[in-house]
Amino acid sequence: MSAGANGAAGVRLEHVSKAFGTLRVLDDVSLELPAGEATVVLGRSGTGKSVLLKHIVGLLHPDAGRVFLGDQDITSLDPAALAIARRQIGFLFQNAALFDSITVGENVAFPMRRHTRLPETEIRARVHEKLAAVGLEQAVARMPAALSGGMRKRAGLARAMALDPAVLLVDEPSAGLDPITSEEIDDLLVRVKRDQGATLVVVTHNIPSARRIGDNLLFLHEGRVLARGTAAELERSEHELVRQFMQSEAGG
Amino acid sequence: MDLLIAPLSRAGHAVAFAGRAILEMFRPPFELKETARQLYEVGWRSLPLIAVSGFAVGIVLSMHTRSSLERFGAEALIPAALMLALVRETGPLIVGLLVAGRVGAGFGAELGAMKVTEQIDALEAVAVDSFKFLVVTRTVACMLAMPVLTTVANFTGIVGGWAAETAISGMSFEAYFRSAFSVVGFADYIPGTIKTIVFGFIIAITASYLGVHTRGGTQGVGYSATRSVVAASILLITANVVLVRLIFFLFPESAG
Amino acid sequence: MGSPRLALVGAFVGGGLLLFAVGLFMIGDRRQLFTEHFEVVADFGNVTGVQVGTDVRLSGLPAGEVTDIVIPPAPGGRFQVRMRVREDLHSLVRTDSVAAVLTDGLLGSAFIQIRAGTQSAPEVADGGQLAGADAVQVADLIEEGRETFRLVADEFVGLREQMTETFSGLGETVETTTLMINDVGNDVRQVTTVSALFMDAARDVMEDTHDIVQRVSAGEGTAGKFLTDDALYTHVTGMAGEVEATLRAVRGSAEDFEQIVGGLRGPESAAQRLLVDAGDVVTHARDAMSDLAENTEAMKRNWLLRGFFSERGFYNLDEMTVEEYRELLRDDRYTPLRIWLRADVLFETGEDGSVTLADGAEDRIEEAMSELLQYPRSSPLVVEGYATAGGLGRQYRAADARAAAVQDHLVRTFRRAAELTGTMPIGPEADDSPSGDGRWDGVALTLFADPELIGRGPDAEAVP
Ligand SMILES: Nc1ncnc2c1ncn2[C@@H]1O[C@H](COP(=O)(O)OP(=O)(O)OP(=O)(O)O)[C@@H](O)[C@H]1O
Ligand SMILES: [Mg+2]
Repeated sequence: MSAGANGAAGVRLEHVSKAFGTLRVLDDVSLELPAGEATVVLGRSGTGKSVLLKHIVGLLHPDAGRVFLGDQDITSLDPAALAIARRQIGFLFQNAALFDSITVGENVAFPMRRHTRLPETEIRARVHEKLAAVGLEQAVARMPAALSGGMRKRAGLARAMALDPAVLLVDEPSAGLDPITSEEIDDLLVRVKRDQGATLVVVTHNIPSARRIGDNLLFLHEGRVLARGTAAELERSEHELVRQFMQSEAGG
Repeated sequence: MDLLIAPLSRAGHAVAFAGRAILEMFRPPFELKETARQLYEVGWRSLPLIAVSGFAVGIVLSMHTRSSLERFGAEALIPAALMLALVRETGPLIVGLLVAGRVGAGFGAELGAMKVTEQIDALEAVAVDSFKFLVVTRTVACMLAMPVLTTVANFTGIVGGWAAETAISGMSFEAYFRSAFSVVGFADYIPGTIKTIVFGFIIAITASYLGVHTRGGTQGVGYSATRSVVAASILLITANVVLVRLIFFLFPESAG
Repeated sequence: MGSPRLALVGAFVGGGLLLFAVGLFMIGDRRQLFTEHFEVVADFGNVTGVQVGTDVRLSGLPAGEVTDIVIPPAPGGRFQVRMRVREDLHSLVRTDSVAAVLTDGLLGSAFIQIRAGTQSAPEVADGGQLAGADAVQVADLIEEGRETFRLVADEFVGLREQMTETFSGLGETVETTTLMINDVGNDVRQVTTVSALFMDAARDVMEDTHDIVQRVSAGEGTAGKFLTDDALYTHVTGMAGEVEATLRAVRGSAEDFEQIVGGLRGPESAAQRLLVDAGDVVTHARDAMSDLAENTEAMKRNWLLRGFFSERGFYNLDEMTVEEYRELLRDDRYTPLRIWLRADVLFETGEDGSVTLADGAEDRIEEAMSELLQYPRSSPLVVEGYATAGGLGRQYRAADARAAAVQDHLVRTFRRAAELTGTMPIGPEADDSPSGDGRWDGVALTLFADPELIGRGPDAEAVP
């Protein structure tokens, strides 16, 4: 897949299978996540949405199949090349996974310090900008342990966006957030896609949120992509389960 | 058969882990800042523990050497006997075990927690080599801190020995200090201190290995911390046997 | 990672290195690695206890260390020991200097002693060769000493019989010729006085010789131990030689004496000569006896204090004559504390001359020691023995026995370290004794405490 208009890269999975012991989580999944578009991944709890995301960033290695980031097969990269490939990806973990030995500000600054040679003042300015975008500018000097679950999630998102990644993988951004903040985060993600041309992959159980963000949605079930399309298309899906899911406006 | 293969393959895995740490130590990029931070944690913050323990051990050793040497009327040899015992074995071993306790548990728990909260994955996700960043830095810090801490313990041990001695005989510190160094040779002093670098390596690698392979949530973290201390202590004590043998082989003078 | 923390890490590593370097320096300083050196080589047949790093001393001074030991290519060859010696001592190491392997006290470690050479010999070159004197084993020494002393003792037994005969003969002769030679009557009286003195002296020498033989045989508790001290060896052989020479003189004089006595009726000058010779003989015998006594003490003291005192560069009691010891007492660097104890309250003397502590002596000693207990137990204490009764030999033996009895008591009761508790039999003269007449009968406890601890000048304390 070629790079997107603003340098964003698409993501492609070819026949990816993954099992943990006897548990088959992904079963011959082939997917195309187009550059510069927002894809929302839906599915019941424990179906392998987080596992799918981790394959894209190379944290999990498929038992079979290949994962492409742009034109690059990341499953065949050595650790050094993989690290370089990862610099264009931002990843928000489902549990935020903030580094709990440093402050929120340092968490956001961490990727910048590692991968850029920006002067300290510039880094501070950018940290402030990213935290402000998620509404956490006052929390810059606080330790992660002192944050609420929702605040942690937003801080994690700020960190994921620190390097203005071409591919932003977000695992349940609105879980634990009030509806207003949740909407603000959705707007932020849409802005990131629009302004930076980033490829967005968002896992969510929040259907309104999925509708707001998603250019297209895919529904994962029992290791396979059960349905794929726009929100309107999924509402008319042949699968009872998918229709049911789309109707639960309140979100799961 | 599985009973045999599982522990063997785990041991092989751990050895590979240690080998990788040695290789990565010499391969850039060097995580200097993080190494310094770990050195602060491992070294500087262990100082009170080590200094006080060294002092106390010095007092106790002095009392014991006094009671044995008094029988031979050789009280004049107390400082030298104490120094010899400290520098060759007591200092390194005590510091090794204390650091295995304090730092081993720390590494095991910290890395374990990072593992179960996906912070290690998060590091990888921001394109940082987590092995280098977490394991190599801790290993290097431990290897640097151990000889320093051992030296500190040796010296506070001498001060403790002097304190015990002067309470009985009123000996001046300078005389005690000089007398303490009247018998130890380089072959006692240098290998005794250098071998603690190996202790540092063993402690850091054991705790890091168990830490980053933590499973099972919070309970697993506690389990890793405990196992780190136990495994590091046992490995350290057994490695010491080999090291002493090796030192006697390399420095025959120290066997005298 | 803030910069204050970084500074602490720097301080941690830097301080650790510095501390480690202090240790290295202390060891290196003791081994004098940081001063200029030259190298010498010496060969030894036996290098017991010597290894690379063994100390080298020059006249007791730390002078360097052994750097290498070359093993002989075949059995029976000599070990070549290479040493580094401080350059500032170079002027003392001459081509006639001798190196020997010695041991520091009984339990001490081996070291190599280089004896300073003589002025006439040139300085040894860097890398030059010194003569290596092999260690003498105490077993050999005792064997040799015992042999000499047995000879000496036999000699004396023979001599005494001969003398008794001579003198009894003389008595008869004198009796029968009194009337005939009135003019020499006075001289003969003198001769009898002198001969009585001579007998006295001869008996003293006999007793001392016996004493020495006993002591050496007993090895003073060190029999079977190796002693590698050539100074002691020299002492013993030298002493034996001296005794032999004196004996020859005694015997020669005795023969002359007999001849002269036989020819008493001869010219006056012969009688004069007899008196002079007899006087010489007595002087010789006295000298020999006092040498023997002193040398015996030297031998005995050699096993005592040595280790401690040489360690501190203080002094060696064993190599010290009474006169040197007195000088040491006067030397204000050492500030000895002395406590005088009288013999009549301390000792009981048995019929056989043995000395034991009297009832109540222990309280006296305890009282005296309580004065000294405030100083470090590691301070050396010397028990000086004094005795005024009898001739020189008897004084020596009494002084020695007294000092030994008190020393023994101190070691057992006060648990004083034996090598820090020496004896010094002095005799009758005590310069600064509380009796005021320059003599003392008893003992003095003399503590050589660290002058800094005492903080006052040389001082004498008397316990009446
Ligand atoms: N490292 C792992 N080891 C073993 N099993 C795993 C591992 N990671 C995930 N699984 C299993 O894979 C399955 C999918 O997990 P995943 O986290 O992807 O679910 P999910 O779809 O993200 O669910 P949720 O919506 O609750 O986050 C689960 O059954 C989980 O137990
Ligand atoms: Mg998930």
